[in-house]
Amino acid sequence: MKWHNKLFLLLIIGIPLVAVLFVYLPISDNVESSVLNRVLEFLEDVVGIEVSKYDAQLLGTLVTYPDWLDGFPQRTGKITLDSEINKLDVLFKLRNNTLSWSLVRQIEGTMQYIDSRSVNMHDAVDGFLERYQTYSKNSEIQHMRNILNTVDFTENITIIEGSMKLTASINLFSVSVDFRNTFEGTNNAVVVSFHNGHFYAFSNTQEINYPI
Amino acid sequence: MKTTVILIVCLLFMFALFVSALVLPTGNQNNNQDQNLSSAFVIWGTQDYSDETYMGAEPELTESKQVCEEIFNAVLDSNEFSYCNNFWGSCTQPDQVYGNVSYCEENYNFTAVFYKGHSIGGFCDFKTCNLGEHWTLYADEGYEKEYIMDYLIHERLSSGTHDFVFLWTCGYGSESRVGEIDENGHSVGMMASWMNVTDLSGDGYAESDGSNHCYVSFDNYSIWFTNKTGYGNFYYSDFVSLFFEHAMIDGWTINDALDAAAEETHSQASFGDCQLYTGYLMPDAENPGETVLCFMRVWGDGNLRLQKGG
Repeated sequence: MKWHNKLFLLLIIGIPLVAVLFVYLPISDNVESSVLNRVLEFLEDVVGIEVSKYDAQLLGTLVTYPDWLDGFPQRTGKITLDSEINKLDVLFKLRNNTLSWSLVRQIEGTMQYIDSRSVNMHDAVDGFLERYQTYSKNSEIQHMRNILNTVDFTENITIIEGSMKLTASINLFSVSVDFRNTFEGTNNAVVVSFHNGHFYAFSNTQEINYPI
Repeated sequence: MKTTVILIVCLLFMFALFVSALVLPTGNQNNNQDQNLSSAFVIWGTQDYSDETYMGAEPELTESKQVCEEIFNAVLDSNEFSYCNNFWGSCTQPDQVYGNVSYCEENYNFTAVFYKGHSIGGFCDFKTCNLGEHWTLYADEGYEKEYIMDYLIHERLSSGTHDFVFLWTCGYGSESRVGEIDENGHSVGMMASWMNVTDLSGDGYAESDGSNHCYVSFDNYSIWFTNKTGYGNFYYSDFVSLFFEHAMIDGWTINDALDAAAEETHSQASFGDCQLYTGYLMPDAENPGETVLCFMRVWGDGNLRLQKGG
């Protein structure tokens, strides 16, 4: 083989290699951008935060494949939201590409909402669930809201209807509502927690069909 | 000839691109390591789990060893600590602990400590001591062997850089046992002795005090690693492993890691909603047949970050 043919062969191998490098980096950026947008969408559509007033930055993330998730990916991350009057830290977990956990910590100032929030805890929780119902298109949320109607958040209470168990808890730190589906011992839950009257955290382990 | 030159230039250009793609990330990692040369992480733990009723026996021993290895690996993988050692087991000797405290104080400006084991009261031989009962940790061999004394840890402090101390042991997170320091610099209690502080926020999770010191331990009995969390197939060993895994993510705080570990292992929305914070029941060794309400307590600055030395 002549030397310039060898060079040609090297080019044939080298060009795809470089192309892969060029393509890989934008894909990584696209994934991060997509993850950021999905979390911001949840914060705006369900929590009701006026996201447009904040500068959002995605910090460290971790992608794992835990055994209990049966090989599906779990992306854990943190976003900082900065506005002129408020700073928030947002934690999240995407399990099998479904947003299944989000927590909003107020670092400075007060959360900026799209519209006024109810100070009544029942209305605040029900409002959150109503918006989550629209966001997730999960028909089971309506059942949860129906059970919630009998809760006034003046004391800890447990209500069981069929396979659905509602537990409303009031502790020094938070007020939380835990809807747990006990069907065939699955024990998966939708949990919403409020701190000082503001949304604090949400977890949904019912949306993903993974073995427990 | 012209074609040959063009080919060579093209080849060199591609080679340069390839090399820069490989070298640039490596360069950033080196910079990070340079910034973190002053951080240390040390793990200690006893092998004494002989009492089945109150210590958990062989399963708890095995799980403790396994978890400490997992924590060690998570810390190593993070590349955030220039000094990291897992002294769980036979290396957990009182003199080695005191010596290591001196070493870390003198050589690092941030040290994180994790200990897994048991607590027991003791007394010092200071004639001027008015602090009453001292508090100690089990060394490797455990009961009725030489214990790790609170005030002897405190005597080895010099720069005050043990900024994160997590003692997975009974009682040392309670308000009555975090400790004090007298006018002679003589200390009692593990928080006071490891960190040389006595005025940290009693709830660093809900009210982080910005002190850059965070101390975590238990009020009453610590929960066993082999206890199930009540959700899925998760155990408290998973909680602590996940805590450290999350604490190593860039930008994550102690509170963030507690929240993420609590959510995953308890299916609760946050650490503030899970039983470690709200209280859990354990058998009461002092009143057999009874149970007692216990808590994990976070003192001081829950917004502290373990990466890059806080």
